[in-house]
Amino acid sequence: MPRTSTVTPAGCPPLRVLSFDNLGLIKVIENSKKQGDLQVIARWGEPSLQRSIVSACLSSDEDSQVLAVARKNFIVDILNPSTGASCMELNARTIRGRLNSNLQEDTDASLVAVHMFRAEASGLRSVLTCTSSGDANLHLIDGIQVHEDSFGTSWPICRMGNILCMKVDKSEKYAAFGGDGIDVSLWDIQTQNRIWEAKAPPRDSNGLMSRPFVTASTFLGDDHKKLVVGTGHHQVRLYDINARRRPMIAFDFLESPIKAVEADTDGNRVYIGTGNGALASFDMRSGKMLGSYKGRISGSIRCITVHPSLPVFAACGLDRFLRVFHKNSRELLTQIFLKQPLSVNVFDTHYPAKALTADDSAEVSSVEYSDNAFLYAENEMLDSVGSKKKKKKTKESKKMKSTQDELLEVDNNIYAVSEKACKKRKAQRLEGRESHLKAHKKKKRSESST
Amino acid sequence: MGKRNHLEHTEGRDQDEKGDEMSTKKPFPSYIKNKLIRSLQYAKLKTQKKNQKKIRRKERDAVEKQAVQLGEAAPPRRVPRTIENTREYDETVARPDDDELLAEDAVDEFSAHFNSEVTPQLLITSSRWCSTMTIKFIAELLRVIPNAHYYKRGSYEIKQIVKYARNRNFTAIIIIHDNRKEPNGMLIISLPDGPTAHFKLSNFVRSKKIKGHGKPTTHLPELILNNFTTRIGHRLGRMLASLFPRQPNFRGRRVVTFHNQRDFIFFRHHRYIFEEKEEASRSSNTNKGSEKKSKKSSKVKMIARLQECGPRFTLKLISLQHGTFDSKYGEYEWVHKADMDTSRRRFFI
Repeated sequence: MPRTSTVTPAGCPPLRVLSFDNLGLIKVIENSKKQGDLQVIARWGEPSLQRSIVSACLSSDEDSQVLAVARKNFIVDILNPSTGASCMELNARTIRGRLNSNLQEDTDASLVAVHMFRAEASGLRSVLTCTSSGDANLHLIDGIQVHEDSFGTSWPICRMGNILCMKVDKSEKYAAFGGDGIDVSLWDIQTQNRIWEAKAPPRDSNGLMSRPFVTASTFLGDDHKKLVVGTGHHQVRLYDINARRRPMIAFDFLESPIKAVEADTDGNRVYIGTGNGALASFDMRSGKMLGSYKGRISGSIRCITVHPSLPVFAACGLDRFLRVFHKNSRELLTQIFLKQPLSVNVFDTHYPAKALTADDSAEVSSVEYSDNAFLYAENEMLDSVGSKKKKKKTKESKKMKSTQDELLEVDNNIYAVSEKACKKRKAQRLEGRESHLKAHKKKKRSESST
Repeated sequence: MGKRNHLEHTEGRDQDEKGDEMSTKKPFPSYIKNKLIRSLQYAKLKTQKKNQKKIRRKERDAVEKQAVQLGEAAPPRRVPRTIENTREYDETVARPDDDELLAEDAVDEFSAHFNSEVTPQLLITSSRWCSTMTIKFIAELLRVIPNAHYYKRGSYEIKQIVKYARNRNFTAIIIIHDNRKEPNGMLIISLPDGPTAHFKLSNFVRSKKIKGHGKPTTHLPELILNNFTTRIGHRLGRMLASLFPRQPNFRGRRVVTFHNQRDFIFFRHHRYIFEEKEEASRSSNTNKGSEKKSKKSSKVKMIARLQECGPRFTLKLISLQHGTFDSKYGEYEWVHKADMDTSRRRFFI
């Protein structure tokens, strides 16, 4: 009898994700249950190829959230992420009401990335955009319109090549740019000066230099000192801005170009996605692979987003699926088919707080769990790196171990349901096998008697 | 010893039960170690099963006949369970009422073709140093696909060919690869901005080898695309459709079929004809007066006849790449991977 049942994913904790696609649609995906599947609850926007979304950024303060959506036709939409109401539309080509002369002539250029800054003390927000032709634009907005007498400025990152990625660090003072033919460089946003630039890697054994081809970048930890970069030559590099201009660690990952790099919240781990759908996590202290994530990913991964509090991350791309993985167990928690090639996805970080009123107990436990899970993850990583200090059996380590066990328990807590089900199934299987054996024995006995 | 005992045991049982119906307790013939006896047993079992099947079919037919005679509804025919109809649930199946599907179709790479804004112009070439069989395959393709032009490959790279074809307003490039002097791969690159599909090509049969094959005319063919159900399949179907001109010449009665079954795409090329056939009349026994009447009343039956023109071949999708061909820096929309093949009942097209 062939197997007709399918293995269903375990389900994910309460989440709210926004996904952005090539047709310019924004989909709101939610799971309100403790352990359930994602569902599309709203769709914003009308399908149009011109308004195809290339990048999005959710800026969340304690009390407010603003979403900036960069479209291919140089329009940046500022939205309210909870209702989808459009606050304003910003043309990235105009600076202080005038068309930017650099961008006018170049018709092939498109918008590449957008970053929405946290609100300043005056309540104004800045938006940083970047075009493929190599212009960075900074606009100041006050919620409804572009602030007139303020500063809106544009400066060139490069005059050759195509910019492919932009990343702003956590302190929101520095931005890293890189692209096709452009090695990664770090810019001070306030002064618009380049403070650091990567040096091309040494020539290879044939004496050839590879073209710089930066496709994705991310900052490790909270500061701007450590920069991880993925290249089109399927190489991952770690730069230390303080130390030198050449990478501290560089290693190859499979054979297709790296399309997405995202740092974990613990400051050591990075998630890497490639052009043919391989997804893995690496420890950037040692450059070792921690494991790959499997879930029948059939298309290029365009974006990876790490949840700030829960131990999950989401990946989406050209295979039109949004998948949520558990960071540590590397299990596919849930996946959803979103019909269009996806470009970006963003976690709504305020969502669990809203759910707190609805379902107190579930939420609290999950939050606790998530906090602990980080500790656990760190411990686990330390183990994997194999530092000699830890091997000494001191009291401290014992203590650590005991806490680790506790944490493990907590870690298992949220997925206890699935495990229970698993155990039940196993028990049933065993029972079935036993009964089968018994029947077989009976048969034999009866045969021998005859 | 034990062997012989076992054999005797089964034989003895056999003799006992000869007159009876086939019992389920009897061990399978595979347990019998003597080949002669085993094969005899097998033959016996087979004839038994065959007879039983015959009886069952007869009974079923009788019931059906009776129902028809009585004017009742015939009992529903049972549908055999196949791999296709027990296919795993697939959420990516494209539904015709999906507005997002329509929206995507309106703006995707093939929309210009389906809006009749461009006519397909194909460039067909081979791999470098191809075999004669590949050349023959290409010759067959040139007969099937209108507006197709063969270009010698020379030593050009695919990326150079793409650039060349794009500048000359070709809408697609087909490249045939071969291995061991047999064509074994097909690359279809849609121009100007992709996508690129890479197929495994197998079971190629030349028209000449097809028994009773016809010679196709130069009329524009009709196109049949079967079973392209999922989103990937839908996209692939549109890609294959964009290789042929939009307006078929129905006078030519030529049909080109791409039939998808379990992710294998079968290519067939036919000519059809509708013929009038008089129903056999029993007028020969009657006299002339009644002959006239029978002529009036004799029904003219229309039958469709099909003649295969060839070639035949089978395609299997290996990858669908975003954009034009770029094996080094390209992104894939769909790649076949080993961990997808964990179930026989899972299909992607």
